Amino acid sequence: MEEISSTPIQSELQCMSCSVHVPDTDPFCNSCGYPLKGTEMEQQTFITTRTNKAIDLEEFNKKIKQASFALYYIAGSTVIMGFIFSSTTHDPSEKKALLIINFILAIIYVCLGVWSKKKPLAAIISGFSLYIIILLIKAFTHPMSIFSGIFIKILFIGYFIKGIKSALEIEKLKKELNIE
Amino acid sequence: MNDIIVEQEITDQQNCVQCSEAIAANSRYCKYCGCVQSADAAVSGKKWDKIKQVALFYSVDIAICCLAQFIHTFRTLVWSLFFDVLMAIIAVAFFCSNWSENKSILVWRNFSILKLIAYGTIAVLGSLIVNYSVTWLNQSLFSREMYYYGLYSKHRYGKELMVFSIAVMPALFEELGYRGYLLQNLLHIVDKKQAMFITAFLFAIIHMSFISLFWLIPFALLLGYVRVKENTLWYGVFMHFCFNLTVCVLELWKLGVI
Repeated sequence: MEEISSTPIQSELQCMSCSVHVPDTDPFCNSCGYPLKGTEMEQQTFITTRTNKAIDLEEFNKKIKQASFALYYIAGSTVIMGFIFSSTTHDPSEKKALLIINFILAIIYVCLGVWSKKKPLAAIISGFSLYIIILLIKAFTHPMSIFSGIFIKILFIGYFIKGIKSALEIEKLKKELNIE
Repeated sequence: MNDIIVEQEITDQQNCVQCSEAIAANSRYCKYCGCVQSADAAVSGKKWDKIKQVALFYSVDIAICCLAQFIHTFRTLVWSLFFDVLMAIIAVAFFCSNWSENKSILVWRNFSILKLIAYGTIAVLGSLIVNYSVTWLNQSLFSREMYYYGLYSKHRYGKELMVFSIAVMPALFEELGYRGYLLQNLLHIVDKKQAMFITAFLFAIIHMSFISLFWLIPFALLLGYVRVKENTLWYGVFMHFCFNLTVCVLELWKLGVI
């Protein structure tokens, strides 16, 4: 801990953990909670916990990325499905309707995917609900469609649920770790 | 959440949540005991519970909507009224499950007749614009027209029933369920803007009509905004009623029933 001599009235320390200048009378850093007056053991524990939290943060970010990836993948497959379905129907007005609907859906998924970088919770919850409703509509109109690609459906639902949980945790962690 | 932050900026001092010592308002941690000073540090578990409750409410609603929409047997007047009542009961049940917290939005503070008329007018105008553009879209894109009245036309009190099940019931109970229960819960989980968006999006997609998404999302955002701004459910209920009533009246007028 090195002394900063530029402030004559109140001497300051630089926090070992977050490098913010704090008055040397404080027992704890008011920016990161580092025990400035604590024993070496306490300080070590603090640094370790903080590092662990940073690792958790990485992990949560990864899960949110997976959920965004799922959104993009679903967008892509929606477009492809739109083309396949419309090429198999003969009624021209239904062809157009199918293409338009699938295209709109894909755009919504892509928008949510992009938005999930900024507001992961809102974007993933919305995307997940939309996905579930589409699956249900398909299941009611063509009951056998539940089983097509069932593993990937379960995988995506898992990604979404983990994404929502991570988005909840990440907001809390970011505040604790002083990251905006 | 936002209110707390604003308060802190004004007072520039706060008390530690753990040891109650006075500390600078912008401190993230207490300089005396090292305790973290964010209001939601310990509640992420509770948030997950709240999300699960919201998900349960929404799943039940989706299940009923799917049954009503896709099972052929249920496409009769009696069944449609039965589902309306069922949805109403579910909305009331969920809303009352957290009565002590939710009851505040049922109070109509600062009632203003001018505001009511203004919101009503916005809803009616919006409904007219949406109605004409959707009819045009349906005709030009899908070459078809949609009428709600078909279901009710054979009944003696068809018109009254149509107004009841399209304008009155949804206005009251969709508002209670979505702008009431759902939005209120989401406000504890995320910030106001995100909560408003999620509610609007969920509300829009449960109607299961893709063309409608374009106007349902903005309309639901407006309803959510009014609900958060005025802190009461009733302006939203009135707007929703005006909007749907305009749809009914316009359709009956087009069909020459009134």
